[in-house]
Amino acid sequence: MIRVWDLPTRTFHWLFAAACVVAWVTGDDARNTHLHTFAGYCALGLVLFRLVWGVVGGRYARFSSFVRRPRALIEHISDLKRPLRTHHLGHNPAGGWAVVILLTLVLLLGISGIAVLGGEEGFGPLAGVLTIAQGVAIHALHEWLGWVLLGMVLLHLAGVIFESSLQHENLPRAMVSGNKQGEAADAEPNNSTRIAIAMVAIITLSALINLKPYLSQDADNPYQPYHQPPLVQNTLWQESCSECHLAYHPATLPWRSWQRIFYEQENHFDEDLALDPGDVTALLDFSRTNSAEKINREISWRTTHSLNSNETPLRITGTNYWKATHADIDEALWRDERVKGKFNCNNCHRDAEAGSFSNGAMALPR
Amino acid sequence: MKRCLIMTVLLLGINSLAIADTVDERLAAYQAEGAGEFSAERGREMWFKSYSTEGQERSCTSCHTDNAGKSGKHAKTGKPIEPMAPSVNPERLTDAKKIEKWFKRNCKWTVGRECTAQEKGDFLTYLRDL
Repeated sequence: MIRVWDLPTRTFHWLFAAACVVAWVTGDDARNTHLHTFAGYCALGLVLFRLVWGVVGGRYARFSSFVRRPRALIEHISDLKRPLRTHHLGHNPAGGWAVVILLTLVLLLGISGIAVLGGEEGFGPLAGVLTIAQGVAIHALHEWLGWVLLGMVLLHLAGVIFESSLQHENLPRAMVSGNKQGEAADAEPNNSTRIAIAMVAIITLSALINLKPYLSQDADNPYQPYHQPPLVQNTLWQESCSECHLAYHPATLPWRSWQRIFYEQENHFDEDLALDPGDVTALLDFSRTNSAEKINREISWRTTHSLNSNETPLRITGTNYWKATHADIDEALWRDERVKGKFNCNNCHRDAEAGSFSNGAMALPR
Repeated sequence: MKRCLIMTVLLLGINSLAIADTVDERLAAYQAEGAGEFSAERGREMWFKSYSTEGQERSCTSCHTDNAGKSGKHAKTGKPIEPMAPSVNPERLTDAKKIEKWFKRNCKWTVGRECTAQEKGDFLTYLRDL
């Protein structure tokens, strides 16, 4: 047995696989955005490392040793049945292309992910650069890339299993030990152990830095990643609404809904609000300038865009966006003592009163 | 400590003056609208009376509980309501605009109609000394 894969290449491979799995698993649920983003940054950082290592790394890690012309790939695949086909010590042409495509996909996923984070959550290096609409559009692309990545990973796994059985060689184990059957002259001379240790250390350290705020949080002051500054507040609004319920910020519904609420104040969910004309004017004014159309936050944008122009919901729970994002919540939870109904946004969204509804401030009561 | 006590007594004094001012001004206004003498007893009866409104049995106590010195709860949302009794919650009955808003809102919900000037006067007379 000789060494083929140096330690940084192997460390990269498994950290990269782990980061992709974590990002995939946490991608679906907005409650996991922080972990998803961390896994994404790790994967992106690993891609950048691999691009450098592909130039300066060990002989089998270099792109020049395994990136072949597409024709070589076709020949490799059509040759599969020939018993004495070329045995590749490093990546075979299919494996080489898998590396290139997977790296490219994750690079694009990382960049588009940063764009989504900046556009939708107003966070990260692209915060303030991209609009919500751009963030939402790139989000769709990001998800699509995720599916393509899943397909490529499955293809890669199938190739590894197929090639392993064809060559009677355990390729996954070789990616752990670094060793394969071969001539001593073909061995990789350097293991570059220190570089691999540095990789693990950097990722561990950034994980700890990201985790630290969770350790110092308590039930009353839970850590809220992606915390956004509260929206403009209004004392009369705050006082009038919160006499009976959470003072839903005007950013949660379009202007036409607020107009309906105040014009129909005599029949406000079974009660006559009995607000005097001066208060009605002031409340209408505040809601006009701070309604969902006017506020540059994801919840506002998605709420208005989930409504048909002839829909004027009086309830936030009546919007399609609300329904879509709360569909997976168990009915029993709404009746739970700690939630007490769908109108109590703030029992799960800790920044509800501020009008932010950011991904990082969500938590189902435990 | 002594100074603190004096301040508290003073503040409470000023506050009960504010209540007295607001309530007296309201009572005068109700009488100008045609109400007669006010009775705390009638106010008390109304506070505990149950009305059939919108197919529900409703009463002031549905939300405010039968002890005005205690916190209540909004019938629908469950949001806590501060005690009604001015002796416990000195902010009560100090704002004429709020008094009228809540009379209208809560009479319509509980009784199914707006309260008359007489009823409102009886109410305030009952509540002010709680």
